[in-house]
Amino acid sequence: MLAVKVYRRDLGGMASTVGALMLPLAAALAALGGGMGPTVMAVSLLSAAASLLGILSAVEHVWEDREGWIAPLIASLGRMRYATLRTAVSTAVAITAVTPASAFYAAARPEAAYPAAAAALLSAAAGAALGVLIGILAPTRGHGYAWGVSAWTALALIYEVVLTFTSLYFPVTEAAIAAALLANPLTVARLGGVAQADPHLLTLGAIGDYLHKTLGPHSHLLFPSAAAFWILALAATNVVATSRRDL
Amino acid sequence: MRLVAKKRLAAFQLDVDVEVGNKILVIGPNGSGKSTLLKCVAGLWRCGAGGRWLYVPPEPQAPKRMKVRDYIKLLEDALRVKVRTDLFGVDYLERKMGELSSGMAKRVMLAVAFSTDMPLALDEPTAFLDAAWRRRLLELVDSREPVIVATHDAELIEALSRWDLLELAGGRPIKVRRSHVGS
Repeated sequence: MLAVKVYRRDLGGMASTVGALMLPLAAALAALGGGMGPTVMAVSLLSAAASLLGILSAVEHVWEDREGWIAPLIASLGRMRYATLRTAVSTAVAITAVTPASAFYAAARPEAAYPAAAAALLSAAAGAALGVLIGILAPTRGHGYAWGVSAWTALALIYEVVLTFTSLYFPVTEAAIAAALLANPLTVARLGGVAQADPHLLTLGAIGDYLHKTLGPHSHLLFPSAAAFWILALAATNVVATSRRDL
Repeated sequence: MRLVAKKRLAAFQLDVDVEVGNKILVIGPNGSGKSTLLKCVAGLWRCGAGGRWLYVPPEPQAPKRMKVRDYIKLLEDALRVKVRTDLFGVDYLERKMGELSSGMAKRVMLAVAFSTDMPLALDEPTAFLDAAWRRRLLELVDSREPVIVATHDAELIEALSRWDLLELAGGRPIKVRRSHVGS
C-alpha cells in the first residue's frame, strides 16, 4: 500500500532524529518531579518539542516529494488525494516519532502519563498539519524550514507572552483571551494536555476560572476538542492550498 | 486534442490554445514557455487546464537517500504499474539515487515513464543521455501516444519531424503544423 511505503520512507528522515533527541529531554523533564507544577512544565516543554518536530519533519516530507517524485504522484493521485495522503502520512510519522519520548516520560512519571501523551501527540499532529501547509506554500525548501521555525517561534513561544502582556496593559475580557487561546493551533494542543493534569484549568488563572464556570465539569475537554478541530481544519486547508499552488 | 494553457509569469504570459494531434513536438528558444506548457499540461502548475499527464523533467529529480530499487517500488505503487527496468538498462538497483550520474538517474525516470500507459510530457528527454540511450529513447518515443516532447535537440527534432509541431516564442504559439501522424 502506497501510504505505508511513504510512511516507512518518511520515518527514516528528520522525524526519527528529532524524536530520538526528545528522549534526553523526556528524562530531564521526568527528573523535575511530580505534582502539578513540574507536570505542567513537562507537558508544555514536551508539547513545544513535539510541535517543532511535527512542523519541520512535515516541511521535509513535502520538499522530498516536490524535489523527488511530485510529478508521478500528482499524475497518479491528483492534487486532492495527494494532499490528503501527505497530511495523513506526515501526521502519522510525527506522532510515531514523539511516542518514544512520551512513553519514556510516562514510564518515569505514570501519574502524568495521560497529560504528557495527550500534549505530545496533539502537538505533533497539529505541527505536522501546519508543516504540510508551510511546505506547500513555501517557494523553496530553505524558505519552508525558515517559515516553519518562524511559525513555531511565533505560535509556540511568543504568542502567549504577547497575549499576557496585552491583557495586562489593555482591558481585554476573559472571553476574548479565551478566544485568542483557541485561535492558536499549537496553544490548544499544549493546553489539551495541560487540561488533563489540571481539569479545573487553575494554571490558566482568571481565564481558566471563566472557562470552568462557563463550561462546567467538561471544561477540560475544550482544548483537546479545539486541537482536534484545528488538525482537521489544517488538513482541509492543505487540500485547498495544494489545489491552488504550483508544485 | 485541444491544448490549452494560460499562465502569467514574471517574464512573459503563457497563452496557448491550439488544436493538435496526439504526438506533439514543442520547440522554441530558451524562456519561450516550453517547460511551463508541459507543467501546465501535467497539472503541476495551475494554468486553468491540465490533466493526468506524467511529466518527466529535464534534470532528474529523485529522493537522494533512496535506493533505486526502493524508489522504483514506490513509483510502482503510486502509478500502479510494473516498471520495466530493462527498457533503459537500469541494472543498478542497489545504488542510491543520489549516487547516480544524471544520465543514470534520467534512465530510471524514463524507464518508469515508458512502463506506464499514461500520456507523457517529456521535457528535454535526451538531456544527459549518451548516444546509445538516445537511440533507445527515439525508438520508444516514436511508438508512443499521446505524448508531448519539448526539446532543443536538433537530432530529436529531426527524428520527430513527422509529428505535429508547436513552436513557441514569448509564451505564444508562432507556428502550429498539423501532420496527421497520431491524430
